[in-house]
Amino acid sequence: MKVSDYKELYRSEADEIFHGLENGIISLESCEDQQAHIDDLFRHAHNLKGISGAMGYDSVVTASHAIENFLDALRKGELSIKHSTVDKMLEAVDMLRECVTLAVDEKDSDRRAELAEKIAIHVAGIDDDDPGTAEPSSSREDIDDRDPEEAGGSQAEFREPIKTTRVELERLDRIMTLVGELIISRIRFIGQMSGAENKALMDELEVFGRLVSEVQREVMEARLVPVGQVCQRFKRLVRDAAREKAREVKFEIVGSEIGVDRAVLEEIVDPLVHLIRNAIGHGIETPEEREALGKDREAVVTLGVRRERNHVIIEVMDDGRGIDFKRVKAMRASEGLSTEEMAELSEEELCSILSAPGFSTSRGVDRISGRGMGMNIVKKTVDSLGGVMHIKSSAGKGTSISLHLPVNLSIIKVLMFYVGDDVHALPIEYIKETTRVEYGSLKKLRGKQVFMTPEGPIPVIRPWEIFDAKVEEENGRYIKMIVVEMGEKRAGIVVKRILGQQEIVIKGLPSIIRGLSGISGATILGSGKVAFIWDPHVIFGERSAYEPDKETIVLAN
Amino acid sequence: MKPKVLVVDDAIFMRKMIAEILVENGMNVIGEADNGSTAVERYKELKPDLVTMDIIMPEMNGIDAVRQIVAIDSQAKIVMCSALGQQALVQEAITAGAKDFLIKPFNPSRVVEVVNKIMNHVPTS
Repeated sequence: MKVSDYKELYRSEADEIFHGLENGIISLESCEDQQAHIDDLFRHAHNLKGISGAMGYDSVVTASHAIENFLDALRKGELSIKHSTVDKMLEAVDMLRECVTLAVDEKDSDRRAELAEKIAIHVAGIDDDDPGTAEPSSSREDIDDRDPEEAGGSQAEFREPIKTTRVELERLDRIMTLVGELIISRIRFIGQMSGAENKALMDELEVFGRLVSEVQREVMEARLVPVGQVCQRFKRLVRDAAREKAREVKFEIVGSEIGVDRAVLEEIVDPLVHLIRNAIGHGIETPEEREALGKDREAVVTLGVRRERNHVIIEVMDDGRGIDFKRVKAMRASEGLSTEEMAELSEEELCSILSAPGFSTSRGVDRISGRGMGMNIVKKTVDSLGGVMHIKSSAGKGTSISLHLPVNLSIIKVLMFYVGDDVHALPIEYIKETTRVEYGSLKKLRGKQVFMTPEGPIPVIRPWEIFDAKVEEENGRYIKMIVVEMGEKRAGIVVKRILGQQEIVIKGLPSIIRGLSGISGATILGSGKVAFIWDPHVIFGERSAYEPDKETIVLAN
Repeated sequence: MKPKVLVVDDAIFMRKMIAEILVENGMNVIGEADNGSTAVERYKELKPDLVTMDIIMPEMNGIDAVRQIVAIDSQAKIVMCSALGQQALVQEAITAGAKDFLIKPFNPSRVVEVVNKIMNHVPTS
């Protein structure tokens, strides 16, 4: 194993240790079995010291040793856990984390030493009422007796099977992309084979196809990450936000074991942070208000996760005052809606009002919430993931905001085709059929080109009418078309070559083109080429594609 | 025949590091355990020639694990792995039946020295 391999191992282990430390410290406040938690904390600090020593990160060793000493005193009952203890311990952990990050990056050794010293003084002062005056001497120890020699060379061989392994997420993504390519390759293969009458070969190809699908399913499963992995960090968030807003909050997580594609999970963390902050900043009353209302002083915020078939539902609930719908409506009334119209606002419409940019019933802006942009961002994220947001609220009882998201939503099935030299894709659920039309049979209807079907005329659209793509010549008797259907609307997209169907992993678009309508995402093909996925709305929608004089979208360069 | 070793430590990092030192020096690491009770189970199952045992671990600590293993096999060869400043615990482990100890961070030549000593039945100083 090389030094860099050890570093990766160190990094991931240190990460776990920090999770353990944070959660353990927070549990000290609420948990009855404090002794067990202190033992765990001690062990975490001790392990960090051990592995840091092996890496030669002296400052981290010094710092974690100081924390270990403090925990030891706590364990032996020489110190007691005060209200401020938890805060101060968390501060120490934050400093320790910075120290570890710097050490791993081999940066700023002065700052590291300074941090180590600060941590030592800090923890030594935890039990004092006036922190900072204590002598750090108790936590200094000679730790120079070490040989920092790194071992290198062969991998260990274990006869015992190792049941799990860690895989870099990037590697999983690469495997996923390759599987996608494998599927395309198979489709091309079948294309080449059509006409050939080698049944044995076709049978083999079918088996091959099934195997590829199975590999794909397995990889997709492997990408699922338990929601709990990100939920743990919310405990800290809730605690800090409750502190800052002087609220008493009990935070519950239900269903943290449920798995979601990790790409989805990454996207959804920020919205959840916002929803939780909202619940604490806006939803929950002060302990005094709650008492006056006959509620428990301590409010309950629940993060519930459950799976319904292909969807995962993540819900943030609070038992606070509920959304003030009167106020929401009053704010809208100033925009000229009549009272009758207001009374008829459906949940969905309210939902969209609440998530409009800049909308906030809050009068003040603070660190926790209140700028009015948050819900808009939540809604946009949920939309972009192909999910739905529901808001339920009843006055005085609380609010529940649930996000319904596809479990594997980063993977969709598309039909891929060429526009010029670029690969484009349309989600398969919007495609009615692919067809071939005789060029001469096209008609003009109110100035637009259409082709006639028994169900009526279908407008003909060319990609360069929508995007800034090269105009392609049409010669020959037939043109190939993808018939797109959205509700009642239909259109025929003229394409030169169809590549085939594929399930693809959607990558977020670089911010430079994210705002453009018409493209809902992109995927990277094994060849390194980017394929653009159309947002079918662009074909219909307000920006009617029948009027190609509108602004165009530059896709390339 | 290469001596068979069971490596016990709750940090993967430490297990990998010591396993590598051992393998490089002609040992055969046949198993790992991340806490004391798993270590006892593994010991029964694998019958290793040597065990390297961390002290501070969840569920069952290294000292209790030494007691249980020695109760099963009085000839068990166990080396404690400890950090600086745990002399008292190391002493307790030796009383419980451990044969020697190593101080983390590991110094490969010291590891080899201790292991060879034990494997050759030479009493430690």
